[in-house]
Amino acid sequence: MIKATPKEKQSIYYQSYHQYKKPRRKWPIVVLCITVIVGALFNLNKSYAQRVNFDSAQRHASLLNDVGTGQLLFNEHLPLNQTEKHSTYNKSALLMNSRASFDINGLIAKVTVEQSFLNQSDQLINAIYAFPLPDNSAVNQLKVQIGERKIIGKIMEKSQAKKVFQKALKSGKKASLVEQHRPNLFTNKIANIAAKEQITVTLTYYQHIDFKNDMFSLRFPMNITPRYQPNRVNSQQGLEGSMAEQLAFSGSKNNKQNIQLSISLNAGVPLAAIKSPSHDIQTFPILSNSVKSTPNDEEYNSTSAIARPMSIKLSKGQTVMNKDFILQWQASPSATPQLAVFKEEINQETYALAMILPPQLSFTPDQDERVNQQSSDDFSRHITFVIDTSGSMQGSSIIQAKQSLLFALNTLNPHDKFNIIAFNSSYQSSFSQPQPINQQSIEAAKHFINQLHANGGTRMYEPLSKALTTSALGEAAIKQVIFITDGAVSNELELFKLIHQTHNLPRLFTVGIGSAPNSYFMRKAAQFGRGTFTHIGNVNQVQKKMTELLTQISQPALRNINLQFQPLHVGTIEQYPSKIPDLYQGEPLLIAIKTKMMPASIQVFGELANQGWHREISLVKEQQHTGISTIWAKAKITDLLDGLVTGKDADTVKKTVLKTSLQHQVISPYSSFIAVEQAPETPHSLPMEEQLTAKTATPFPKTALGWQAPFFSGLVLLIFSLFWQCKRAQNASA
Amino acid sequence: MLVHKFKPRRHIKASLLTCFALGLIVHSAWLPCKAWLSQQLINYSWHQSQGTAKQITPWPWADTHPVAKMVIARLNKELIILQGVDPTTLAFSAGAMHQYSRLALNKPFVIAGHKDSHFSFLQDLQMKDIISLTDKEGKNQLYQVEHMEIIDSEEQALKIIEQDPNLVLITCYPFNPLESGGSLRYVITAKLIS
Repeated sequence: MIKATPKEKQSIYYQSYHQYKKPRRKWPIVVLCITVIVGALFNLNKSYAQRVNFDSAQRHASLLNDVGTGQLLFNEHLPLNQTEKHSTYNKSALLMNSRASFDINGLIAKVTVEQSFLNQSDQLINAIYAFPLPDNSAVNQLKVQIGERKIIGKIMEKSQAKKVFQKALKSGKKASLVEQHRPNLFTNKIANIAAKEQITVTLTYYQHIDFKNDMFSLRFPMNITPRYQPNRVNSQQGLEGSMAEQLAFSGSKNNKQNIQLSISLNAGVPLAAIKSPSHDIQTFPILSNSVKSTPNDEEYNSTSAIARPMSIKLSKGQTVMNKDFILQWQASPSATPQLAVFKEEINQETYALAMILPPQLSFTPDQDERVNQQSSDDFSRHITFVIDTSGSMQGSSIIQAKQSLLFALNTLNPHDKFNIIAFNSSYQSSFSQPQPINQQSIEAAKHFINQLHANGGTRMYEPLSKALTTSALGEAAIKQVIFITDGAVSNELELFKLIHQTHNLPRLFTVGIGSAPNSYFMRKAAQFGRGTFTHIGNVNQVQKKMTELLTQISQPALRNINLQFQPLHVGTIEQYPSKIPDLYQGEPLLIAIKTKMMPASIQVFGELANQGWHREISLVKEQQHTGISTIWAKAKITDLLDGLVTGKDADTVKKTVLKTSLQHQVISPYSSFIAVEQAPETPHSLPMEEQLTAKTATPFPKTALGWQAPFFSGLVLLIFSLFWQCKRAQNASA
Repeated sequence: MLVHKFKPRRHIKASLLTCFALGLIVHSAWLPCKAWLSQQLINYSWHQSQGTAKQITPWPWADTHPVAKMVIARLNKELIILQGVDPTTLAFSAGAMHQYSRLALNKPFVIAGHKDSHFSFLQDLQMKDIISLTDKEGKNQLYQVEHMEIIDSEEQALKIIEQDPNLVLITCYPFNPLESGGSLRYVITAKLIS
């Protein structure tokens, strides 16, 4: 009894305290503590990250980063003779006059920008001319007039350009290479601009016209938005620097920056609408008796509304440069493909560009449906899916690939046949023969897809060759291969050769998976296989991109396209691309041709879903479209460089590429754009700047394991639980 | 009676917590361990593939192979670079992007790595540091760091100048251990020294 009392007491105490208080009190506290600690750490990190970020943003700040149109920038406080590598430009010169003219032919625009600036200050300045080039464009001419002096930019062979450059350096002249500030920012240094001197810059570049959703569009940068950042004080410049920036800010605000635009638009096809979402414009046809692109076809004539070139101007003559100029135009709807031909004659050689526009699906739903019906009746397809299941596809890539595949299966038509090949170090196919679409085969295929998982190496050759050859067997059906991979291959050359040498090659469509697939390989493979390349960056895009691809390839708008000339013998014809791909929805087709003699007309033959298709356009002697030779040269260079891929002799390729590049002033990997100063009295030339070459945008890979956070929280938890157990042991022993 | 009822329950709770904590530690420590272990195998295959045209994979089922060796003398750092920047490859070592994985005088070389394993030393890299790259054939190129920036990968893609022989190193940012999976990337550009 006596002994029992303390026990009883203890148990009561125990019960009341441990059961009702301790478990309730301690658990929330523990959870709360951990949350608070982790939360606090995260917050601390974030503010730290932001601060560091901000600092680094400030470090790289310069007016050059904010250039929204052509501007002449200089540094007020930098002594003239000092050629500092990381000099900042903090003041923009007064822009007096801006003019831009556009010569648009089909899908290419030749843009000429002319700008005059005035050195307002009372001192000699070194300045930099900067112009933000649109994507997909390349400068091919530059002229700078500074009083008597002239700077002319041209394309030169790389090694020669280097020599000229070195020579100038040796002779004591100051020459420096450009720094990369921003992608596609064209910069050119101009030295020794006298006080109150006026300089005029004329820049010519070629730009590709965007074509999306049956709409052509062109953008011209003319946006001056000097962003004043009060914190952007350079540690070296201190107060002075910030004052200079303020000056620059107010200076450009005072600039009367008006621009005059003139556009000549030769779309080549009848237009339904021309508009500008950014500015008010006026359009009127260019009246010229030489315009006579009358096709023989009656149907074509009936739809022709404004097939003649149009001139476009701003309704107010000029406008303030405060936003980019955008011009959009749309071809009048047509249920059949449309053909346009542009032509330029240089040195007794004729350059022609044939553009084939796909029909618009949005055009009259009834007709559309009818076309669909017919095409699904007539175009039966053999589709082979090839899916990469190698180790590099692990994680989200294989999920995306499987989803794409499952999605694709659901869109097949009842009379299509299909097969699936999965490969890593070895390969297996779901069926021994291509299967018609029915419930059974779909179920079997789904089962096959679901059991796939990423593992092992990448052996692409055998499965690809199987896909390319087996689908080549069989009747008149369209053969398509859809190749889903991240392109982690090392034997590219071998694979290109395989694709190149396969007879009766099916259309090859590549689908790149993951954040950074080997897009070079896949783009080229698709090009050789006369198909397209689709990139799926993340899981959310699967459905959208696959729908786009599958609807596009479900019905080629026009296939087996070939060109003929009248008269038949016009001398050697150089045509690029040499293998003409099929015309698919949403992608206009361009074919560039060079002939010795001007043909009287160009005929294009092709096959629609259920009938032949044929157009003829006669060429008019007087009609000239500028820039066609440039486009041809570009196409030729691309074709020649592709030769490298299939194992042509590198030296021969280099020679021919260089020749074309220099003759047509088109940039290539072997040449560079150099501005040479041509002083009137001395024949000495001083190279100034090299133009920025276009950068390619690549998505970033994922670069964190993220093991530390769970590791440390694990440690915290472990320490806590051990501590708790110790305490419990102590309690128990007490 | 009551005492016996409560003791085991508390015991179980504490042990569960300990187990959970240990599990968490082992699970997360596995990644850096794997990264370290694989380095040994990769080193071996690198030495084997020296001077041969063959691609020797570090282990038979690997989907990658070593392409170059990076040395930073100032930091006393040596690293074998693998082919590819997919998550599987990056778990083993830093990897070179497929299209930019060849040493050439007119081509960029782009390497990505995890900020919390192989590329953690990028935070110590400074302007003007010299980086040496050697490929399998023994060809060597020296680069000097001349630009460092932080880019939000959601806002812009990586811009690579096709014809400039730059070395571009990419890792996640910030280097802070507890923050990961963010969209910030630390990008170092080094110019080729001729």
